[in-house]
Amino acid sequence: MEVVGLGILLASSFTGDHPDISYSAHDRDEMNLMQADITPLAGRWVNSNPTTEWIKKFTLAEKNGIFTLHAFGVNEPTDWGEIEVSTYQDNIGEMAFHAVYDLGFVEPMLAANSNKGLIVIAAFLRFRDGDDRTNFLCREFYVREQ
Amino acid sequence: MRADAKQLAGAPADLAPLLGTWSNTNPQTDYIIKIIATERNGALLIRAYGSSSPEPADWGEVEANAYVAGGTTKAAGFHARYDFGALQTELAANEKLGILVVQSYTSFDDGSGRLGNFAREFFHR
Repeated sequence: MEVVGLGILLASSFTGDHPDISYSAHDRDEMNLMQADITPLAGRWVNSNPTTEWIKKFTLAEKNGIFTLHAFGVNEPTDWGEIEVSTYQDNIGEMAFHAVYDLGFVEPMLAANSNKGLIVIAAFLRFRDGDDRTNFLCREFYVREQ
Repeated sequence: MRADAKQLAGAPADLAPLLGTWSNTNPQTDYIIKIIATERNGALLIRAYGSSSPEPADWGEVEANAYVAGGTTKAAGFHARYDFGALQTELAANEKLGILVVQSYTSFDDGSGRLGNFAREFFHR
């Protein structure tokens, strides 16, 4: 199998059943991409930094095995809309997700993971042609909304 | 890397902080053992090597998007994507204090039923 040639055969073994974790999975778009179950992360999350200029809060939701993200920014457009996310799990059961928004002038790629009750989002903001801002990244922390 | 730090306008990212050979701090890793970052015509190129014996497995070279942080022009991270057909890996990396932190998000489309895998590893020059 080609995966072996890439040197990541053992990495794939990370995805085996963790004894304390239950999984759900579904075929996505008939591509047979298996989604890790991040149901424990579902709910509303707020930025630990109240002076952020980017994502101030978001909601993670699950419906029929599909996980979605609905993010809200500080500046216009404040409602980034709801998009489907790809979900992952590491070898110790921490959950993660990856999503890409298209806000027109900017394409934020969100690389997120859970850690000790927080969700950490590394946002890679790529500005489109016509917007002369330099692409930049930020990494912020989110706590569950009380 | 504060999100409230003002980003610069119109300034090309200085890729120097990312360039070079980065080795995994964990030599026993089962995943990426080494990353080589180079610049060509202003573009950032990433070549990752998977852990393999007797030699690391060359994943090949892909163009990455570089990102600055903290209101400077210095590149502080990159996003790259490997598409091997049956397997896709997104690499989301940021450099901090001389360490390259690489988060990988791997999806399997090989019918094996394997769940998406996440890993976070650390690299040094």
